[in-house]
Amino acid sequence: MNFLQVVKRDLRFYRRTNLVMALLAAVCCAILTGAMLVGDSVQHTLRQIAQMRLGQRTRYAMSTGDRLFRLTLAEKFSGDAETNIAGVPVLAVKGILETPDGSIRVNNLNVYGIDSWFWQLAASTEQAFMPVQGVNISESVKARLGGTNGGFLLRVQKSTVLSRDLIFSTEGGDSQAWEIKIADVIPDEAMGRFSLQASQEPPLNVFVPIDWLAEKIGQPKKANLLLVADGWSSQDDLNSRLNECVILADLGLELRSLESENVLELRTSRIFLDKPIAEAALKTGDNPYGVFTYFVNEIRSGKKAVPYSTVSAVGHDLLADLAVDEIIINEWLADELDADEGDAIQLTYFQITPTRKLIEQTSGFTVKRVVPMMGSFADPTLMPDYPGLTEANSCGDWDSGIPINLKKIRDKDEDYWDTYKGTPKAFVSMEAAQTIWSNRFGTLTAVRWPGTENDTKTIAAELMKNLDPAQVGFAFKDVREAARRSASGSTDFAGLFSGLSMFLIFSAAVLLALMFVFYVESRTQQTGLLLAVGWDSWKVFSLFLAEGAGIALTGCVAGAVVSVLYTASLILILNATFWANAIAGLQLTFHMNPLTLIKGIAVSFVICIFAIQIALFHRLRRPVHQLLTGISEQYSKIGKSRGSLLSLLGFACFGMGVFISATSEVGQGQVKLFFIAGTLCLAGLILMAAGWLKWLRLKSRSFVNSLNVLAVKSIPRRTGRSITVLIALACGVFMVIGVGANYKDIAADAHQRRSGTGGFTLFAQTSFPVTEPLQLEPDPENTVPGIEEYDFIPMRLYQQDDASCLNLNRAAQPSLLGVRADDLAQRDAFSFQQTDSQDDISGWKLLDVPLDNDTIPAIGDYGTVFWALGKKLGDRIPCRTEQGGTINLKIVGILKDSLLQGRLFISEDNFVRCFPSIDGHQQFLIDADRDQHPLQAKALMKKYRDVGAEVVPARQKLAQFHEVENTYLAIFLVLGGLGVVLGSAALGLVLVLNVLDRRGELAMMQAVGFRKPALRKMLFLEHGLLLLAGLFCGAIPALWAVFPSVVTRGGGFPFVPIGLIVIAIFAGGALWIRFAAARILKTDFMNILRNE
Amino acid sequence: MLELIDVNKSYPSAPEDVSVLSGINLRIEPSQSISIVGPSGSGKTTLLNLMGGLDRATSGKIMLNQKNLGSLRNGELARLRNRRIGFVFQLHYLLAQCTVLENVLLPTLAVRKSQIEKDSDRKRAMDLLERTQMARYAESRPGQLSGGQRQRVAVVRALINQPDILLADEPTGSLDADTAGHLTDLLLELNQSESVAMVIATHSRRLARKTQRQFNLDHQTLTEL
Repeated sequence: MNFLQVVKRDLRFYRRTNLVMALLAAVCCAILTGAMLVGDSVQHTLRQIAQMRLGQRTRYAMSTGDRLFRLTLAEKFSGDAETNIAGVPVLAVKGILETPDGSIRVNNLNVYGIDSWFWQLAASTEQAFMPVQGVNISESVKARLGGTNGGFLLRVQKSTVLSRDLIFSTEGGDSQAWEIKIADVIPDEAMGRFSLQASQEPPLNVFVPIDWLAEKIGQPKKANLLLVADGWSSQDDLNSRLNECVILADLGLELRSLESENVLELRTSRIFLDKPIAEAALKTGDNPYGVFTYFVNEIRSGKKAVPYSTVSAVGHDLLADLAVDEIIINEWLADELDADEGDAIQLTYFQITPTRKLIEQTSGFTVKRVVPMMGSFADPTLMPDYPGLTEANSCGDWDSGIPINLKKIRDKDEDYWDTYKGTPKAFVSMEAAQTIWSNRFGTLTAVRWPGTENDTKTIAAELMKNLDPAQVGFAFKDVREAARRSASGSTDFAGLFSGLSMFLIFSAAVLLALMFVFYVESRTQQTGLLLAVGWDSWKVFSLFLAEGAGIALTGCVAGAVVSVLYTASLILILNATFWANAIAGLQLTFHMNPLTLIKGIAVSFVICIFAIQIALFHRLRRPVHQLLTGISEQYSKIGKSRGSLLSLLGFACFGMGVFISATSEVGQGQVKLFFIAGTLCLAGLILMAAGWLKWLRLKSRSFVNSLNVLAVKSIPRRTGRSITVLIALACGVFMVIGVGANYKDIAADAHQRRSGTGGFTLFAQTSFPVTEPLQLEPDPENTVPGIEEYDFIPMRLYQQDDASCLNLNRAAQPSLLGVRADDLAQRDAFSFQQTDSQDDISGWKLLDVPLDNDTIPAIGDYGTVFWALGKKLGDRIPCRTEQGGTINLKIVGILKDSLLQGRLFISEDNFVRCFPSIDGHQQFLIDADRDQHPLQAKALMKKYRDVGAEVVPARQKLAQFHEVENTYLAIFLVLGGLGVVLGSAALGLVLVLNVLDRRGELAMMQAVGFRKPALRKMLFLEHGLLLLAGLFCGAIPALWAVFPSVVTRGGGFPFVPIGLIVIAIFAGGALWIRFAAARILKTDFMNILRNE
Repeated sequence: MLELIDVNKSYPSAPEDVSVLSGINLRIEPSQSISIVGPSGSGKTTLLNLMGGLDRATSGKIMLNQKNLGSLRNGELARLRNRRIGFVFQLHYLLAQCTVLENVLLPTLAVRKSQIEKDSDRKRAMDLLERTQMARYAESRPGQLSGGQRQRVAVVRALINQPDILLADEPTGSLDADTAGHLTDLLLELNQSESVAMVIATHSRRLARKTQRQFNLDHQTLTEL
């Protein structure tokens, strides 16, 4: 018989014990591999979603926002040879779909104007070449509409080349709507899920023919999104091609020859030339000069005034001698004002605040000279195309974006308009104009080239050469690579679920180790015999290790098979409950990677072998004679006690923990410190308990005058065993309670400023930007008195990736919110976890602190910064601006748990500087009346329904994020709790081992008259005390550790779930002990006496 | 006091039961000491277990103070063992976590007692330890004692409840000759001083000769020598 045969026979002979051990190894492996498979499945699902949202062929995309380009631009880009898909133009606008009676409304729609080429980007060839007819919706929109049939109203944001934040922008409402009928539902796999944003949330898409949409919004033959299939050698290659193909018209520019003035002029329908365009133009051709013309409300000299005029700054030699405080007026104005050289002139004009509030301002000048109305001083083309003004035949027809009091307009003014149109009445220096009127949209209204030597074509070509279209958003991005990175860099669910299952795995490993001890113990005499007959220790060790390995491997392989079922069930449950609600309807697809199974088996096997070898090592160290007789070491001489040392060490740890907590202020940023203090207390209590056990074993003077005292004195009989169980229980209880106490309940303090709601009652967001303050009219019937009384903080939104816990993808480019720091600072809203305070500036005001040129301060929620972006305080996140440049967002503050998760905050000034074309506000924090806020929310939604307003209680918004965290915590609590309950089974096993050690004594006790119930009670008490000690050592430090977070949160301690868990742990442990005691005492110990 | 009437003991086995004891008759008077000798496997321990109520006879009667042990329920048997019978085993089974005194008093914990009774037990335990020269070890743990000392403690433990009969199964089996001799003397001295009947199962003829009556157990039957 060789070594292997011995192993085989042993495995067969001890099959019942081995089966239990194999089961424990299987539990270890099933849980661990299951966690890894969940990770695989999440990644696989996200990759599938990424594939669906881009189609199989989309590789590059260029989104130009409100700058619409010609459809013909798309034709310049063809994809690979196989598909030969040209660039696919898309006109993307935001929209709302609603039933005519408004009973069903779907906000935040992406309305895509497409042509049939669009379908070819999908993997599904069935869809290819299908003509786009009628209005098609995605499956997600269909789900929102339910079974509703019939007609709908499709409302989209009005297209305007002028920003709504621009002072001269005319607004006749923010949206326009058409009656439509739904033609078809586009499956997710056939581009129905198209989106450029990395999110697992199904986008709400509507697809319409591009020509139809472009006509409807008044932008025929235009698009603002260009999709290109693969087939280009690189992104740079593609962008080079783009630079060659883009023409001025794509950028909204016009180059015209003004023969009357003998100049070429570059102007834009956007009134102001973007800074990069103006700079490029001023470097183009010969002698270019800028023009800046502004509309002023009044020009006054003393008591005389002229209303509504234009004033220009022209950068040519005629005005070169003008000082910054000097002004040239034309003869007409001089006559009207009775002004002459040296007289003072005041210009009154409007400026616009970020909330689109108009502020009237005045600047003073001195008349340098009066000029006749001829030549360059009588040029009506200096006035840009102000909508509502330029095309008006008379002043009475003016329909400007600014308030104009037509009563102020005199006949003389009408005559001037009739004769000279918008010819400037005054001229200031360029420096003065740019100082008082420049804005984020630009610092010039035109650039001119004098003479005829500059021909249009040459200037246009040279200008395009000098201009980098990327600076105005004309650049392709590799969206497929970004999608791949987002899906790959998603939350590590394998790690997360492994962490959540940690105690279950740990408990199974502890049990396995104890079972192996039992296994080895039951073969003590065989071990002694093998050693006695000449096997060396290493060979005996190898024998047991080989048997253990066989058991562990069998268990792990079985566990891997079980893990497939476990993961499939887990995913089924998650899909039906948590993911369906909390993670925006994500439906995970089970995915099994064979490599993961192998990895799971390997790791679990190593864990099991580690546990087995620890058990084995201690068992085989006993002398051969002890092994042979089977007598345990209970009577062996007891060495010097280390109890005092352990207690001392424990006391020191505990004291240190208490000291740290006592000297730390409860509140901001102290949670970690308290957790460290709690951990020290845990270590201290365990050490003290170990010391006490050692002391009890050797020094206790308690007289055994009852079975209860005997039970207590029996606890330290096997100190190592008792301490192992104590540590396992205490650590498990500590973690479960410590983590479980973070279960978030916002009910208690949602009204407080420093809470996660910031003290705000409502949170609103709109599908279209709102440029006016959110206002409600007083209720005329006074049924809701004071309904109009509320305050709000508007926020600008640059929609990119959602960097909240609701998005499982890695957010490459987080969405940004522009906010006025003062608004939040004054309210002291929300709590900061960490800030990069400078001097006396802290909190929200850090957003206004100027940093380097290419760096701006940003603040984010902890979940966003740490988890979604993987950053920390002081880190920088590169962000592409609208001008094509890159700025770094430096994290200067991290907010504690808040409803502002998912976005980064920057100051409104920085926001409009980086994203000038994004107008209006889309998100609002509202301080509404605490009692009437439901009515106010309803009224706001009704009033702003056309911009797709959704108003929800702030606590509901916060609860949405909490639901995710709470679900993870709940999973941890369930798995961790199960682990601890399973771990408490170790107590039962320890009891069995202890009884087996002491079976002779128990037989003797029975012989001298002790009955089994009394012995059972004694054993129960002995091990129950160990259970209580474990609970105590774990629970007290855990409560200590979570104390600050409970205090700072202002209540809401989850007594019920924590209490239930503690009860479950105790009950589970007690049941195991009771079961083990009853089971083991069924053995007829008298046999031992009989067989002596 | 203790009487065995036509006691038989067999263990079920295939194809037929194995008989260990057959037609055993024995009467032991108070304070009497008897020894039972016999080869290994002759059934000495089985006989002692039957006498002590640790096992039940297949047939026949075992009467202790006019009570038939076979008709008693387990609880009644346990009480009887506690009050009327003392056991000394080859392995002493002292509790390692308890002191010598606590080990001695262990049988007294099986029943609820008043403080006066407890004090009385303690006094008796100390008295017995004194008489066995173990008093100075009262606060010692078994791990600190020699094999002979541990067995003496086991003897004292067997006597703590003032039993009517002391059953000792190979009490000197694990001891050297000198120590065994001392322990035998101690047992016999206590047999007289405590007026307790004593049955010793032993291989040792030398020990057996010191008792008042000697029996040989062989081939399932008991014969007085």
